Amino acid sequence: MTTEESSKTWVRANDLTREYRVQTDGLSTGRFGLGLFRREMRTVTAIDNISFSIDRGEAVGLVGLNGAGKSTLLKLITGVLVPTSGEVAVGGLNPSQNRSQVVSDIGVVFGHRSQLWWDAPLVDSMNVLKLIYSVDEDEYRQRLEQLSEILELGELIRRAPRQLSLGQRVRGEIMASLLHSPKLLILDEPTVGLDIIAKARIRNLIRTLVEEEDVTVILASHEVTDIERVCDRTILIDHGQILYDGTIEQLIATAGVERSLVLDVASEAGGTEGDVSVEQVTVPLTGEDAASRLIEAASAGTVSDARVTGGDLEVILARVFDRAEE
Amino acid sequence: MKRSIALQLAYIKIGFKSAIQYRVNFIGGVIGLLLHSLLAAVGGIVLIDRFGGVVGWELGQIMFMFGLTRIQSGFIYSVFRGVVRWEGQVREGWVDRYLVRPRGILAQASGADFDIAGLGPIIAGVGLIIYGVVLSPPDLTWWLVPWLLIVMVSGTMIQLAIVMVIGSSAFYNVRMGSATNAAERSQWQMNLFPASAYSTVVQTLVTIGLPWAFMAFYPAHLVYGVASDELFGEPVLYLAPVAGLAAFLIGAWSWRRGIRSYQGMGGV
Amino acid sequence: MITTTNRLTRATWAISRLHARRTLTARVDMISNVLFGLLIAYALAFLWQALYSSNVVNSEVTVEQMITYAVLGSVATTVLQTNTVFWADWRIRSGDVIFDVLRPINWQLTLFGDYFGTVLAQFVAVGIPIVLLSALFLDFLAPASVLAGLLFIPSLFLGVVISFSIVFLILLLAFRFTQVGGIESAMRGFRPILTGALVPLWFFPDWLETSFCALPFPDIAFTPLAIYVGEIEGSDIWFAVLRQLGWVVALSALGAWLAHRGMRKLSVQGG
Repeated sequence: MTTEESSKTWVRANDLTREYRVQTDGLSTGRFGLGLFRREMRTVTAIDNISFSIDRGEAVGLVGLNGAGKSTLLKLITGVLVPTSGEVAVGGLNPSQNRSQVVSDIGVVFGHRSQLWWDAPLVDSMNVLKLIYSVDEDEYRQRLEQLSEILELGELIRRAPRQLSLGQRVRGEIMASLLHSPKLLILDEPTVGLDIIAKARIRNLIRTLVEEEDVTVILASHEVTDIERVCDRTILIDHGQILYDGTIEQLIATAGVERSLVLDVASEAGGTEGDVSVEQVTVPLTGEDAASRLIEAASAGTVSDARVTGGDLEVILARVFDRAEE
Repeated sequence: MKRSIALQLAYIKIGFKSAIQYRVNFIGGVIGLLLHSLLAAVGGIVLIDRFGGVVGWELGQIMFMFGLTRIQSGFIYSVFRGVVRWEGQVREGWVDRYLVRPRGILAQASGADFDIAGLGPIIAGVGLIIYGVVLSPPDLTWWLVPWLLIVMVSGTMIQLAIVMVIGSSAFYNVRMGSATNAAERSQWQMNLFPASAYSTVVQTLVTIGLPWAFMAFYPAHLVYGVASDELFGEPVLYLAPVAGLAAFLIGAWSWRRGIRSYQGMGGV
Repeated sequence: MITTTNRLTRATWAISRLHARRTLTARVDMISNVLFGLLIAYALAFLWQALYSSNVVNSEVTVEQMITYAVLGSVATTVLQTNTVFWADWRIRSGDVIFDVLRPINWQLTLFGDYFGTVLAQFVAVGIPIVLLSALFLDFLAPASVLAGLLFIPSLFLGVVISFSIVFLILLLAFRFTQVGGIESAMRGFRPILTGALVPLWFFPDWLETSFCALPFPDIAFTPLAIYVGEIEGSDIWFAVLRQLGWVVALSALGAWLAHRGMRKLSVQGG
């Protein structure tokens, strides 16, 4: 776009705005079906004048509540939607004007939707995608082998999604979106519906991919842990605006949440022999005298349990969103 | 071009592989649509037999024409099936997935939902053409086969265009699945009998508005050496490819407009 | 007993209303169905005129009766087609059918509510406009007699129920074969012919007419239409309606029994 743009920048949005015209009343037909001829429209702003840029190789988490504008933003970046005003560029190109060129370098995983053929073996789906993205036969073979190793799919690629567990299927989806070695990988709620173990596995895989593939990742999720484990940077959106853009550490600091150590200290109390009382002591972990306070608290008795609180992104986000509401 | 054909073939292969997983539905679909064409033909045969021809056309000629249109419908049911059930694809969010891939939406939409059941009408169509040729042999000329191939392609384009025009309304978040069915139902019922049997008004409509009469009726005049159509004269007999192309251009235009509008005002 | 029946009737009617409303909101669908239905009604009416005027007609049926039949036949074909099988088939495949089955109302009745509501909405929004707009320029006749007029509507209703019963039986195949969309697509093609909506059965050769009449299909559209135009007359009308009732009872009972078995299979497989 502009000359001063850093050569590292891959995705950039300038004053991006996107509005929708929606029908106010979808189902009413009115009396005697007269609604057949009635239509009331109103405008909703899904993305409200936002700007940001993402560097090559960066992994960015996109966090927001339902309807915050996450999906719309992803659709604008991929060229599925055209901005109402402002501009968006991927690799210096406008995605809606150079759709086929831009999307050749993008891979997308929709957590709620599959891009695989439900009843055909995974490898057959890959074969069609190979043709869609014009991937070379040799490159394709190599890539398939490499990805099935990273994604631990192995012989599962001979099975149809219908016969796979949800976790396995998501790995198949990720494979499908990486087959053409995209420079930008977009993941929209990739861990939705998975159990804890499968979630952890997918997160680790994505992290591995980020490190090994030199791919720029945008991960949208409700699941804060996804972002925490995978991303270097977080963008918080609410009501179509950016509430926060920066590292997670900074976010914790700005949110004004202190990390504290909570100790359960057991001490022999009162006169009676063997009567133990447990006291809960909270020690803030910031400040110069943190260490001495910690020692003091711990030596009051026997420490039966200890845990850190306040660092939870969940809590921080809740606070930030709460503040935004006010 | 070569890559596009390879892609369509891959679509057909994967569609076929998926379909044979549900064997009863697969066989039921093919045989069902085959029987449908034959049963419709029986309805026509009964009437034509009873009245001894329809507005000057013999049974064999009418079956020949109907067979031609069935083959064209077979292509719509199979290769372009995804466009036929476009409403469902839009509802299931496929447009977004097609838009994030470096290929045309129409190519992806038609391929992604390949349905082998279309083989039914194609087999039935071939059978009906043979039946028609046996009953009323056409003039054998060197251009007969090339002409029929051209007609086959242009007739398929005419049907595809109508499906596309109706289907593009799905981009505006409009329900239209039943409209597509209604169009298809009208198409085969109308093509069961010669268009000139339907009076001036309806014949004009299926010539200019919904150019179904170009799928077989006008082109068949040449096959049987009929010099001209009573209503539209001679030129109309040669116009099938023009009608096919024109219809397709209109279909493509409306489809493109739909995509643009979707990108401009898709759902949240 | 009465309260149960009352509750079920009201529940079914509520489902019907829901689907009727859903159907009516699809404007493009409704308007196109009117237009395409009209096209077929006019085309067939003109076809009959052409056939009657240019050929020696060896039929006691008049051309006006045929025109009326053509219009009503187009209405029947248009109105009876719904997406019930496709929706329910998908719910069976995805396992969502478990929610339908767990409701304290019979699944068969739920689907009937769905089908009937859709057909009713299409009858009002599509069927009646087709008849009115056809009557404008065509020789559309009134019912052949008072009795025909009185029994036409109940006969039509029974036709809808028979049509549903067959739809339901197709759907039950889904429990065995997982996917039945293709079979329903084929049925859509059969319907205009088998029900006699396109070509009335009296034009068929005797052996074909007899074999068609052994099937339930003609009682869906041919019977009510033939009653309307007066080709089934007098006491034959009562007999025809009774035969329709017989099909309703037989097919519904078969459906209920197979559904019961299907559900057992479902609960054994765990959905």
